[in-house]
Amino acid sequence: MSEAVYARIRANPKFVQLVERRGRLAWTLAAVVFVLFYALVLTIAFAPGVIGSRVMEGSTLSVGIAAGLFQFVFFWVLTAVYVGKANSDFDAMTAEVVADAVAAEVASNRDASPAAPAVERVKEASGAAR
Amino acid sequence: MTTVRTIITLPTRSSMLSLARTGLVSTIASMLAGPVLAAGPAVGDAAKQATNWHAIAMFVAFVLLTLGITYWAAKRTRSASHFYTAGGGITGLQNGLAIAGDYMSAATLLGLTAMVYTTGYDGYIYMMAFFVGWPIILFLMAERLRNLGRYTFADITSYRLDQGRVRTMAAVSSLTVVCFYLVAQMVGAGQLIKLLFGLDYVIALFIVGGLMMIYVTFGGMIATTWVQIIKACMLLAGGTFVMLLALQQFGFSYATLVTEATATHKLGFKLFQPGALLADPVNAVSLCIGLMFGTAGLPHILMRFFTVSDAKAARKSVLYASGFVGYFFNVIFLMGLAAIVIVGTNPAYFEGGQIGGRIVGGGNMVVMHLASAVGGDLLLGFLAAVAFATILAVVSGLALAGASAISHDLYARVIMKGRATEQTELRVSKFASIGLGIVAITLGILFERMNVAFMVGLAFGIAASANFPVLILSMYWRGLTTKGAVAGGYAGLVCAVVLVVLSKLVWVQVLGYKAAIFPYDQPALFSMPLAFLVTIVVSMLDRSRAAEAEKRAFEDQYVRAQTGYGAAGAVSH
Repeated sequence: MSEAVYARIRANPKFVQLVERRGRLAWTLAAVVFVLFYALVLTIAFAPGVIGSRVMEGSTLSVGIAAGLFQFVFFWVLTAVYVGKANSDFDAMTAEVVADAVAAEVASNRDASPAAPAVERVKEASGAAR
Repeated sequence: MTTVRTIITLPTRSSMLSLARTGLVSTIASMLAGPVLAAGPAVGDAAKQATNWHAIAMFVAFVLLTLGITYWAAKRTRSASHFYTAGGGITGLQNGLAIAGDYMSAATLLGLTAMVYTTGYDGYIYMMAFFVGWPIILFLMAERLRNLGRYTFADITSYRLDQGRVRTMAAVSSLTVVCFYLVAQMVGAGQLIKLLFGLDYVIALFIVGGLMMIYVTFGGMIATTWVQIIKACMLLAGGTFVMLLALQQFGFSYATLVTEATATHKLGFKLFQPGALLADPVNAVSLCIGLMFGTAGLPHILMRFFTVSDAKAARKSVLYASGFVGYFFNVIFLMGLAAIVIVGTNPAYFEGGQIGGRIVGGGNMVVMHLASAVGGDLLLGFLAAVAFATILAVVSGLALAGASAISHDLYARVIMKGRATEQTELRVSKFASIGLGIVAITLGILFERMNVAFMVGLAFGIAASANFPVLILSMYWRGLTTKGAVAGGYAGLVCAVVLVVLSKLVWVQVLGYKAAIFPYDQPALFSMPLAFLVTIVVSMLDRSRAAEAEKRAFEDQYVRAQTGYGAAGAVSH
């Protein structure tokens, strides 16, 4: 049963679209984190003087602290962006794709073996999808 | 219940005479002066302190509360699913707090505050490296972990591969990580408790080990989760309170704080410049890689993703956890700066009243002195109790992860090949937790006088080299085969261990040789790419029929990882 559903999900263009869109967002955000963080690490390693200087003449805030604090806040905002997007749009798409595949599979099984009670099968399938 | 009685009665026996003096101020300790990298707070031998009654009273209250919760949890722990993952019934917020509680050990509170106090910006870099693993875990791993895993991360790596060999490899590396982490925590705990509570080292180990066995054996994941949640709340509240009281002395102005701190500290404004610790670029990058990817390979952290009901809650857990962790790191930074002025200019906190000399109780005690300076004995007692609770929570999480590797991976899947009944598997995991508790106490006693600083670093290094590459490839790469996974996993494990043994931390500081053969502190920059390389090359060379079937099975696994269809759901309570 589940192999057949997996095959149906795979064949659904909406699934391909879901994977592409979510993957693009996740990898973009991960790349942003990687690049910004390792840019900072390399600056720390090769130009420690820049990290230790003041953001402005007479300021008590140093470049390193400002950059670090920015990353703490910005990266957390990125996690919030991803969670927001994934938990609403992408999860709705996922639910739709799964429901379509399960319904199609149940329908084709019912055609194949009319004796099987369809309602039971739907229940079983959606229970497994939780 | 006997354990509780022991805690209450022992101090009276051991230190009636020193009752007069509460707190830490007095005895001399020869703990390592500098902060210890992310590691066990304490190294060397800490002298026993006068018994701290505020701390003990608050700690006993914490223990009673958690034992009550364990009793409640024990009645709910009826199946393997309850034991390993709390039946998948933990909410996103609860799990976020528990992850934060699992992740922030006593070394975070004590070691990192001390590091900011002595080296300023270096401490901030460490905290960033500890933090950035989280967004990456969310973007690339969290929902796949939840959709594919059930009880341990080996469920995922062995999903389409040979159960026996891949699970054995995952269990070996998990247990290695857990044991090193556990020993570092136990030795740190013993030293810390000796200092904070005035209890004997061995007794302290028995209390920690004993409570851990009770939580894990009877309460399983439900009790462990709640111990971590309560501890996380205590840590966040205690830290915030100390920070606010300290900032009050600077009129809540960051500018005033920095001006006074740089005027006091011998580095001046160079406090904000990266120091000697990260002078070597290779070392700096290797450290950051080790901390970042190590987080994504720690078995007790990965296990937390299976305690929530679905991918939605798994994502939310990371959002909350990274929020709490990031917030608390900045609290630590402010506490460290404030301590430079408040602790650093007060002769009462230095041995013999010599400002700038050795700090009473050792460098790691800075945050405790700060608490006592701004909030008196009561706040000091609270923070000391928080530190003890922190150790208990982290140790319990580790023991549960280790026990699961033994019972779920080794016993049920490798030895019994899936034919074990749930009841025997559950019994094995309880014996395993007790066994791990005994191992932890024994190793803690054996390593009392040893420098265990390298152990947490090694645990992160192994997690990044042995667990992470195989885990991420199993979720993302169709071409992964059993041979590749096993070869790469063991290669990463062996390479990480060998490089650490050859590094200064073990070769010079433990074994006593003159010069280190491997010049860097953290092996990850070398051992992690090696593990990836070996895994990929061996997988590609594997042309067996089994390998073909494993590659084909990726297609269904991929759909399940993306949609959660067929994933283990929550069990009703």
